[in-house]
Amino acid sequence: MIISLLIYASQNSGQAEQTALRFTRSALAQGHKIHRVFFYGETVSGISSLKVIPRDEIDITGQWLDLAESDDLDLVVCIAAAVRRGVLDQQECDRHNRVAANLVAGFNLSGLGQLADAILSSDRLLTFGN
Amino acid sequence: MNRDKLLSLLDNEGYLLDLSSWTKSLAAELAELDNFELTDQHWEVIETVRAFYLAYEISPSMRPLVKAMAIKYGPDKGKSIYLMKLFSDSPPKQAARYAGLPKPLNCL
Amino acid sequence: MADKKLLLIFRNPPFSDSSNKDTLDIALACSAFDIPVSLLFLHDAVLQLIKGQQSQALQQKNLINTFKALAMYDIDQLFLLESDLRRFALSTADLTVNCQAISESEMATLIRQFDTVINL
Repeated sequence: MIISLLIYASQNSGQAEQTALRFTRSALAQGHKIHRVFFYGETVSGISSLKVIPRDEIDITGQWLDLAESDDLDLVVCIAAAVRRGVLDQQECDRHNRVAANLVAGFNLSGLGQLADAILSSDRLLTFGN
Repeated sequence: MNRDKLLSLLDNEGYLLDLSSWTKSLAAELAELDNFELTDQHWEVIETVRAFYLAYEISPSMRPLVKAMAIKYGPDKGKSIYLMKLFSDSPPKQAARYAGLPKPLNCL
Repeated sequence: MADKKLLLIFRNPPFSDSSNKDTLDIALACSAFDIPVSLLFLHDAVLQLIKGQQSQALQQKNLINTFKALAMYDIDQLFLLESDLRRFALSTADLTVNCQAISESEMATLIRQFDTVINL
């Protein structure tokens, strides 16, 4: 089955993003295809390379990157949600004259059209919200 | 207005920074900057996107723009092909730019 | 690509978190991709549709104008629960947009008609 994920939970409250990650691993292990993971709303705040996680805690953003590398995941961050929260790639940094780009490398900023495409291209869209 | 002064009023994508500073003559200057001629047909579209924004606080994408044109000017002008012929770039984006509105979201 | 019908569910009151606006943005984006979109307003989410809201005092952008624009995006299937209308002593005439009031059991049938349901 082709599956896409919509992640809409704050990294700092609740388990939803962790659950999404574990769901993704498990779906991949069972042979399903993950078409896209779309990060939207408060989740986006955590996809910043300026974030510092205490050594004895788990960096969930890093875990997505590990999975993206091993299983070729398409990690898309909503550009409107990101820009309003100060999560910028180099292009947005230049466009808005900000001091630094901080989007974690390996994630891509794009529009909600990528979510619409995920809906059309997947058998299932699963939302992990609050 | 000279070119530098005009450019200082725009963001990096050419949209007006201060929406309230829009005038018809500013729209004409913007078009001149692009070497683009605004005919009466173009002005109809520009006025339609402005009216849309005033009513709904949102710059229309293609589908609602087509619908708004059809309501105001009839079925012949309420067609995407008519708008595509009129504007060289994406009609919703180019019309929003000359109308002094924010760039439409989710534009294909 | 297969035809997909999308249902978006609103659950939160107006001027609370950004979920109402985020859901509305999904509706507009999906409409641009010719995905048929329907909306369901549950519980406190119904309150954001009441006529005559003045958001200026809160210094917030009013979503009500975007709701009025939905018909221009061919999004005209809007649903809410009769029980929520009763709870808030409202009728559909009190609302800015045309909504169909349905029962809980009709809601269950409705939700099953969609390929994708998003409930932020």
